[in-house]
Amino acid sequence: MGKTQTFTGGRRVVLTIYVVVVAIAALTGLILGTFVEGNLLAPKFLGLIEFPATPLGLAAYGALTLATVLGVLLGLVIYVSDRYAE
Amino acid sequence: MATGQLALTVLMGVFLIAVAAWLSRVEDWRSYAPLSGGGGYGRETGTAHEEKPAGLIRWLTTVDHKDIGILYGLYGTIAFIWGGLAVLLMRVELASPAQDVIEMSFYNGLLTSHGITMLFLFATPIIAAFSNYFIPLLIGADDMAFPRINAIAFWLLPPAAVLIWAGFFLDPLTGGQIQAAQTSWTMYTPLSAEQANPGVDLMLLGLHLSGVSATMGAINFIVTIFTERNNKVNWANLDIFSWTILTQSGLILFAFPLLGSALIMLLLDRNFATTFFTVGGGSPILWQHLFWFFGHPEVYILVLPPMGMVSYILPKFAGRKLFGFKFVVYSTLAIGVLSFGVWAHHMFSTGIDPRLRASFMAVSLAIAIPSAVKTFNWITTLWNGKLRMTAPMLFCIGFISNFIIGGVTGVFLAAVPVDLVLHDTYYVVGHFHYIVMGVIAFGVFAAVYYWFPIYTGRMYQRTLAKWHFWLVMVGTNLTFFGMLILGYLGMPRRYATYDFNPAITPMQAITALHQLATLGAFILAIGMAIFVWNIVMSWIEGPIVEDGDPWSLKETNQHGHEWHWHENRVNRSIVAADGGEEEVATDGGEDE
Ligand code: HEM
Ligand SMILES: [Cu+2]
Repeated sequence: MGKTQTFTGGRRVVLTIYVVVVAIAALTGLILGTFVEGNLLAPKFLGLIEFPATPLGLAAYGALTLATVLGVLLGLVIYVSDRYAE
Repeated sequence: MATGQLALTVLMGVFLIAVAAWLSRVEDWRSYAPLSGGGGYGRETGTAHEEKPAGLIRWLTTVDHKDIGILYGLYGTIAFIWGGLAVLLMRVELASPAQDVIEMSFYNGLLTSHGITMLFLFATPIIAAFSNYFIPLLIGADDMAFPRINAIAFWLLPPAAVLIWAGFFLDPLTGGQIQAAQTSWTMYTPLSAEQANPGVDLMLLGLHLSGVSATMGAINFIVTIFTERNNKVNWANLDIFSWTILTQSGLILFAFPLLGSALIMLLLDRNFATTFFTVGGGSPILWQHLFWFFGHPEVYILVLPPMGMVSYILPKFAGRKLFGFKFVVYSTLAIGVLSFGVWAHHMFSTGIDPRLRASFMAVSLAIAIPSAVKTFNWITTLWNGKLRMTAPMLFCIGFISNFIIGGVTGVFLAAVPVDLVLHDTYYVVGHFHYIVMGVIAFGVFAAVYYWFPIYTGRMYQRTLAKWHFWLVMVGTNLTFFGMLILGYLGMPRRYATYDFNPAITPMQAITALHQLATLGAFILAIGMAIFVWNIVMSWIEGPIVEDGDPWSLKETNQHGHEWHWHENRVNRSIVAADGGEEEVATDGGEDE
């Protein structure tokens, strides 16, 4: 059993997951905006800022929402990791 | 018909009594109950296995927890293949809108078989494969507390599968008199009470049997973890996988007997004109309450142990301890308790009291918190880690990202207004498959690869394992992301055909998404074929593992009890090298 090992940085992996999941949210918005024409309501980011009910508008809305929610969690991870080793 | 069924029921009863009578004769059971002396840390249980008969007899008579674990694994794999083939056929049918490959009734039979098989004959037993093999090793016990009950619990499962699948085989033999059950896995009444097909009764009996098996197993795990721990293992340093199995067993203890009772009532409704769940005299909503009071905990019965596997395996390849171990245990227990309080979120659209709906929505959102705590701890473990991208680690990471998508989509469903729109669409199917395939199955794959050197004594082919991972990861996301979108577009679940008004819903998009989902399913299937090939071939002729620490866990101080056991075995076989009890010794050449 060879014991040579290659390591990957944990931060890189976590950030990749973050970006991929946010991209999936954007893709969802894009697809829905393309297919569900006409009867879409304009979504409001955090209930405040209205986005247009177009493919791009929905994609931006989806990406921004998930980026924020998961971003808060990620911020918490970083904060806790710095404070409490182990 | 009715007398025929009565005769069948009586025959079953007589048969079961005969089996019980025979079993009580063959051995003196009590001599094997390790509790008779009052709690036995590290005592001999009288079930050490110096010599085993060879060949088939060994597997039919074994009471060794390791052998029984392997039997569970084989059984789960066969069920996974059956359930997988059923769904491939369904996906082929759905690749075009019209009904052009299989009959609708056959489609419904496949749908029912797929769901029941995957949940009760694949997922539950495959978890038992690992808990049977590894819990005694992890807690330093000689065996399970009740080795024979352990064996009986397993051997109830093959007849359960035969009964559940019986309709498919009896259909051609009886000229369509008995067909595969077409009730879907939720068996909603009045449909399931009114279908005359005896295949439904056979399935219900089989399901009941599988529940008896799960309950027996659960009792065994609870007793084992409470009483058979080595004295070095206490509650504070009990590993996370054992914690999740303990919680899961507790859930089984409360949930499965309830399902069993509800199934009996349904059988009585079908065969003896009782009216528990009928429209006149009884209530179809009652069935839904009983079913989901079992059914929601069931999803956590399935997901907690894989969460435990990932919590256990991820740190090994991140080079550091699981972050916030205590909180991961607490969140497991919290999920276990809360899971019994959310069942009515499956019934938002049945017209139950709006105040009830609101309170169930609140509890459902609350249960997202302990799940988020776990995810938080996994990610924090990763953040400052130096990761080794082995196959088990890849599956752990895939598990986490799929769990984020499955969880986010689930939170939306727990909101009443969203659920009322998406209920019974493909969105729900997409959501829970991100969990059942993307999470539960991924956790299992991680465990298969991680522990492969222990239960086979050999190493798998790493390249094939990576192919397996990437194909399954891509296939899962293609298939179930397509389903999420299909659901938004209004595609209802449980139909073999589809047809929309093109002025409202673009038919081309629906068809294209279905084809995407079918393509994804086939990519998944190719990945799974590679997996099975790899496991079988590596088991037969993979390189023998003579390293007591094949994953280099000692470097990060994470060499667990089970690897310690493995190391002892390897050392023993190097000394003895005479082909004794352990396979690794038999052909332990120096070639590596
Ligand atoms: C973590 C493991 C989970 C598993 C194994 C799982 C599994 C399932 C399954 C099998 C169904 C289908 C029920 C049916 O046939 O109608 C379902 C539906 C549902 N799930 Fe999940 N789920 C999980 C997590 C969650 C979470 C975290 C939430 C929300 C907090 C959630 C909310 C729901 C809701 C509300 C439904 C009902 C949707 C409907 O019938 O319209 N699930 N889930
Ligand atoms: Cu539920």
